[in-house]
Amino acid sequence: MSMKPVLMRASLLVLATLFSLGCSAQSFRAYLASYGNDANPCTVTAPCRLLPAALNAVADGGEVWMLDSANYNGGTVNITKSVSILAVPGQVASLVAFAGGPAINIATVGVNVALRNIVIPDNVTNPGTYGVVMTNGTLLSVEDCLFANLTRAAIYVHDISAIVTVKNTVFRHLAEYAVHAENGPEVTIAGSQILYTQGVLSAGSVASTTSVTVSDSTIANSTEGVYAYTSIAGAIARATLARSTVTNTAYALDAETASVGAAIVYAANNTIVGGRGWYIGPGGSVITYGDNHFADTSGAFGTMTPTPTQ
Amino acid sequence: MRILSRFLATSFVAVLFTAATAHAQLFRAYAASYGNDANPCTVVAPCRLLPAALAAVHDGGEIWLLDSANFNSGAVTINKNVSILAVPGQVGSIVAFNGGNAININPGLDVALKNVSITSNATSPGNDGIDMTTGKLSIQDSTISVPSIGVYVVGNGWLSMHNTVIRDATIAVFAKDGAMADVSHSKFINLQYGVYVQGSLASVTTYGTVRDCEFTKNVTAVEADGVTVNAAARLSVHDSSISGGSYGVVANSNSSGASSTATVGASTISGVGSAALTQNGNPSAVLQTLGNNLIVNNAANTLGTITPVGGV
Repeated sequence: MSMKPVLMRASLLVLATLFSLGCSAQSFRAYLASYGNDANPCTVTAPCRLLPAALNAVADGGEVWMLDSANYNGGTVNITKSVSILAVPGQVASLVAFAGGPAINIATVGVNVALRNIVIPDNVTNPGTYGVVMTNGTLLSVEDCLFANLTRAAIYVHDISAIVTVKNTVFRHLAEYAVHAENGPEVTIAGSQILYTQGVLSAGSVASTTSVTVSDSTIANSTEGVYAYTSIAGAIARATLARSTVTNTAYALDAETASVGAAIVYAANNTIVGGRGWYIGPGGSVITYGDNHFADTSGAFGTMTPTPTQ
Repeated sequence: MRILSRFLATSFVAVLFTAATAHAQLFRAYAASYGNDANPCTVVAPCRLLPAALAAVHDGGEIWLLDSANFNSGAVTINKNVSILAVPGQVGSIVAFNGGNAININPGLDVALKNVSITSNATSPGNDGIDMTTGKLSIQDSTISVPSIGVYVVGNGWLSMHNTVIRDATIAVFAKDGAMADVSHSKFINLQYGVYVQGSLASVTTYGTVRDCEFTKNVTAVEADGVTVNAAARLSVHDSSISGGSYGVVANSNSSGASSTATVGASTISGVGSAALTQNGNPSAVLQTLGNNLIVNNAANTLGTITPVGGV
């Protein structure tokens, strides 16, 4: 009976040691807030202000929590370690692309990065470029985010074999693609809205295989739906559209090559309204499974390849 | 220390996002219940009402509503490209009153609304929720309840609406004269019309697309209506549920030479008091089914000629 308080105190001491580990140790979770200060240790009681400070404070594989609604960058944020970055529910964090750069740059071998509940817009008074550029790393997960008004693609992942997953995310009013994947990535987009953009691109400009899958999503008022394109021999670009709606988009399904490589689009159980429907250029193919509905599309180019479902 | 820290931090934010030039327009303007329209609309000194924030924000910028409150005192005219959102956990209210609309959008603009509540002032009722002629409008995570039309899109206007509830209005979404309305994952409750697509301009097609939506107790859930010679209305409904009310999916054409086509697939229609699928008027009204709908327990499952079509 008398041992219990002693044990409890000992446990608290262990916990305190575990979570503080000295002033300069990196934490498993770093915190940001609008009322934070980058001279702080990025703890929940003394949060930092901007994302680079939190990234310095957090351990590889750790988390950054943004505690209230505010903007959390003052320039391109370079993510060089595995980390999950999220705004807590009930708040939203913004990371802005400005001054000719992207909002986020990921170029470190082997990192796994997750983004959740974050708004990534352009600063119209000092425009930037992309939302997220990924040229190295293993995994990027994007959930419950919004990309808007960017002058380039929202997510540009290229020349790596990374896995990119996007869920419940809105892309709108983009000058380029919602997702531009080129030379090796494998991208899945689910339950998302792609509005007023150039659509989604799977491209190959070196010998590689790139795949993009869009499911349970809406693509509207864009120049492309899903677009597969290769420009060099040995490149394979695949784009899949499933259980989705594409409206008022010039080409919902677009597959073409520069007469080299292979560009393939797969389409199953979609509703496609308005626009030209599909475009099949040299070296391209569009494979359908007999359950797509095209309404008021006209001007389609090429012949689709029907394939039985299994 | 906490107070000092907060002061320093907010000062830093203010410098970061406002000090580029003293009177330059902001890429993001803020409004809050505790704001003041004499403020610069920054996060530390937010404005109170939406018109002040619209004046402060740069073309193409954002307005964040920081807490739950009403943010207008009259019809709001949007005259620049802008995204307006209430931060999560809060909701921004924009009220239609005194016979006016809540929001009027000038032609040709890109506008986004997220997490807002558009309603009518019960003591001084308004008219429509949002009126737009041409331009590109995105509505997400919002609610709309007004006496007349929830969202009225005319001409070369493109509407994308997602995860939004429209209830207790005459028409929830009204697209006409070449507009394109794309609606997904939304609910339509107690309306005269849920989604109404009208072909009323000769040689012009108006489109509506509905996916993953629920329609409950509406006189007519969705309708493609050709009303003018050589005008066309096209409506596609997929993965949706319609229950109660009088009519489910309707293709109507009262004018010879005005065409309307409504296509329905993978949807459920039940409990409708008149007819689930209705083709009405002259033969240029076409109601297509993809053969994979569940249509049960209606006063009549079909009325008029129903045209089965296959997939590709």
